[in-house]
Amino acid sequence: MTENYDAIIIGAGHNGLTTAAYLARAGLRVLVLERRHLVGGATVTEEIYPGFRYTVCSYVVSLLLPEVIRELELARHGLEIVPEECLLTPLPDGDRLVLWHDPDATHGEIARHSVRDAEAYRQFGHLMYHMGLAVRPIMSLAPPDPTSLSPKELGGLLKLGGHLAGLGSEQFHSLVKLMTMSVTDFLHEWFESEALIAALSAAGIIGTFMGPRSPGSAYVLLHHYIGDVDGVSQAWGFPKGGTGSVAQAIAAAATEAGAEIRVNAPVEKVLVKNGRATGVALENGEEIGSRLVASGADPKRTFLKLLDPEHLPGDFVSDIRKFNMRGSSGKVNFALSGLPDFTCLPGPGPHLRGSTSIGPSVDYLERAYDDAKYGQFSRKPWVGLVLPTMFDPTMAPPGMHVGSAFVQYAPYDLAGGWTDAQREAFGDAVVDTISAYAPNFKDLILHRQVLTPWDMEQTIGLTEGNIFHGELSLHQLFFLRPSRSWANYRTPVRNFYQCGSGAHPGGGITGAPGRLAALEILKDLRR
Amino acid sequence: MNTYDAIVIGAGHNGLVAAATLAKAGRRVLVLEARQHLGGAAATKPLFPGFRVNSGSNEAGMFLPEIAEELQLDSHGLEFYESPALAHVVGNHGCNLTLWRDRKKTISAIERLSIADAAAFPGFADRLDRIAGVLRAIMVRTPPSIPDTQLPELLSWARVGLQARLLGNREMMELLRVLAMPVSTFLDEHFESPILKSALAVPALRGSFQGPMAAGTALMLAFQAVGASKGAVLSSRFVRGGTGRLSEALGAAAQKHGAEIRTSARVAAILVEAGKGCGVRLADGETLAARTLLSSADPRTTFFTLVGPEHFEPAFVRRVRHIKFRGSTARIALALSGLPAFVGVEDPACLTGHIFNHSDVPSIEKAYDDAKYGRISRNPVLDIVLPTIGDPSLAPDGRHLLLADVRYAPYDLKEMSWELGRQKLMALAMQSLESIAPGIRDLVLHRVVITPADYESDYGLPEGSIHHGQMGLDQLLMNRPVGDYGRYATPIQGLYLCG
Repeated sequence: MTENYDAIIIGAGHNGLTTAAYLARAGLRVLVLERRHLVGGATVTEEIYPGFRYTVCSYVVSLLLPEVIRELELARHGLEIVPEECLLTPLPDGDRLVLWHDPDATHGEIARHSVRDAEAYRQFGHLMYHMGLAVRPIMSLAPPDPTSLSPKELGGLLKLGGHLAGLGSEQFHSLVKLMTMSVTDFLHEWFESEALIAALSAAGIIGTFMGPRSPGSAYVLLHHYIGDVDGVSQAWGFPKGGTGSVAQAIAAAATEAGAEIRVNAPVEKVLVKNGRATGVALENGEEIGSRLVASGADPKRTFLKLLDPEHLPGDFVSDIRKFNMRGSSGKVNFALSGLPDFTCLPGPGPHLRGSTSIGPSVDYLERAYDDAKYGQFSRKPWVGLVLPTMFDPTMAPPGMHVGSAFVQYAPYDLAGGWTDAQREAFGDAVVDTISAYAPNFKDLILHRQVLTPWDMEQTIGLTEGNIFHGELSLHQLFFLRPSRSWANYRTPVRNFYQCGSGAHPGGGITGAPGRLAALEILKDLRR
Repeated sequence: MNTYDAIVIGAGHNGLVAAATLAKAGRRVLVLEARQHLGGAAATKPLFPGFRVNSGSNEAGMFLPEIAEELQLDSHGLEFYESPALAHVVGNHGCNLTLWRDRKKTISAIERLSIADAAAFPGFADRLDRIAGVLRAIMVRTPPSIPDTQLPELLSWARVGLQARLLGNREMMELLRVLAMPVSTFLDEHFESPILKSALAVPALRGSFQGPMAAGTALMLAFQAVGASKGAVLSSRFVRGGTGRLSEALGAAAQKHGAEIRTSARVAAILVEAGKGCGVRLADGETLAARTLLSSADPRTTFFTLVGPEHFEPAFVRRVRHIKFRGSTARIALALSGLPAFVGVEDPACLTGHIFNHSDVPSIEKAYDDAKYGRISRNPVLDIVLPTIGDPSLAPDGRHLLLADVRYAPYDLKEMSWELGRQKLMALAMQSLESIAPGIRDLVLHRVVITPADYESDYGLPEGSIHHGQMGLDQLLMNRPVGDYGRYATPIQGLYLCG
């Protein structure tokens, strides 16, 4: 084995690629090793059904860090994000609530439900914009260790404290509320309209094993507002070519800077000698040496499978074992022969160039969660439906469409386990749910791909199918992610780093953990 | 018009502590209580002839020992006693579990269910004890005024920080992690036995309308552990003669130091002049003046009913309006002709602490699910005490008293009015009791239900919230009762909260 590389990155998910790109641009010789035949990890676009390209696991981009877009020049590398025009929530009585990209249109629409809420929504948007601004710097900050008295950590804490103190009372207390309340309780402080509260509550449950009334879910809502910050262009959008093109663009930036990417190269083990990572061994037996190794895999896979526990302190291993994964989301992709026709807004129109949220009331969402709590998939799930072909018609044959449905809840630990029959029953529940609001939907389906958390574990390698590499619950955020004392992208093994969503600030297509990991690595290398 | 240095509104135990402390410091203090007796909701009353019944808390484990010492409450007739059992779960098929104050006995009881859990228990109990130690340090301090922290308070809090640091880095991080967790996750990390987890989950539900799977409930378990004696995970400190004796002793201590206490004196309004509190007006029209006013009423009643929202900035009014009360606990009291026989219980000492009827966490969560949609839990969670085992003075010879907190009984009942709900709740509770103590129906001499609606109308607790506002991550410390006013002072100069 020879030391050919400065850095090996395990996994070509969008975060691993981001780390690779930053390191390569800093002049390191970088090798990215990907288990599958294509890059992207959970951020992939694949032609699963001939002529139709699915955004397999992910469905929208809301949080991609502007720094990453700018610094890696992703636009030059082909990334084009088309903003969504609306969030449509169809209601059972045939009415609907549409939150448009255009604030005046939204005002008029909310006013149909509640004049008071229409006014409050402006103020709410203002607050959340500022909360997003307030939290943004934290997203771009490696978590300091609050128990350490070293000057470096204290400096980090003071910086954080100074930032929080600078918020002022109203924003500080709103931040505390967002960190501790349930999304529904938080919204009830602002609004009275059930439709509006339900539409916004849905953002608090995406990717989590929480209901809209679970404390902590308000944070997830905030997490989704962070992307709104740098003006309209990055707000909930859809990348041309699907979310896979985010990974493609980052891969292009990495390659241009000199990084090497090998697909079909599954890593078996991280090689450790005298407490230092020295390289990796592939499943085919090949060993590749490197000065440092970074893993974009989730914490359980990284520390419990890729490393031998003997290289890790027992306390740390037990922390990682305790880390809650519990994937709770399913994904159903459709090849459609035409456009769904919603009862509440018949025919084609701008309302199809956005997300449709099927979750008309808080109780509806809460009942969906109740099913999952006891090990069932939701009989009436929340569905977030996007039609990628409305943003990029080339993703399907002319006149045809792709449907991308993100679904809560599909617990990884299904009572009795996920079988083919259960998977199809789950798919049926999703089709029935959409069809209740768009009756022609069922007849449009040429093909469907149903992914349960179990499938995501099998195909993508996400432990327990958690798309965020670990729940975004309060006790797993910031300096507790993924473990106390090891939340700064380093690990107990020297020269071995974590660069995936299992580290701060967590999941979503952000590039943030990948970027922060690269910056910390470069600090250690004094570059 | 008489003038006092301070008027305390409400003779609940907190109002009385404030009054006694101020009187002891030499202030002229007047306490005004709307009802005929002291204690507010934490009273003990002869609801049935010959029985002394607690209307609120059944034990006083959380009562800070330093207060009892400072005010020499023992000389005023206050006597605590600790029961040998902390909690007993009546499981299915006679599979029961008792947690004892004596840790060794607890471990051998757990051993019968799970060897692994018995081995894990000491580590768990020690960890909880350390976390509770930090919470204790927090409880006796005025919360900091974040984000505008001043240096002196920073120094005071630095001591808490230091205490937390003494836990060691790992434990300090563990504290931060645990506080934000659901109690179910916290217990899953330590134990496998469903019945053990259930025994520890029920106490974590006191004071909030949450199920055991809600984030922040692990903090509430640690909070309960604050009152535990060394090494025990839960508190089991009762007041001899009933919890109401605590308030009687506090009242006596306050009077000894010169405080005046007037019962049947309902305060109708707090008088404000130019932004300053200057006195109170009683329901009968009498006005009383004081430089300092302390209200032990809840914040909603204090600010909206007694002062009036027009005296506050809209932002403050909005914050107070958003305080979540959400009473979700009802009380049933049964006078019994004898000691009921619980399934699987041979030694009555098992029954001296709290008795629970749920033997796994998901069934507790399901009880919460019902309430979430506005129904009384079909299989309610009972938190029962039989105080007459340890303190026979509460009932006539040979008779017993059963007091149970019944969860969940949502104040905002959607299925029916509380007038009808009262009967349904009693029927559901009796059904649950009958299943764990067959034949108990035949022992019942008298019975009474206190619903959240009753706690509101009879005890002045909004939405029947016995804690004057839900306990939970978002309503604690500097956010209690509302942000910027977590330090007992209010926007009205001279008016303080002490409840």
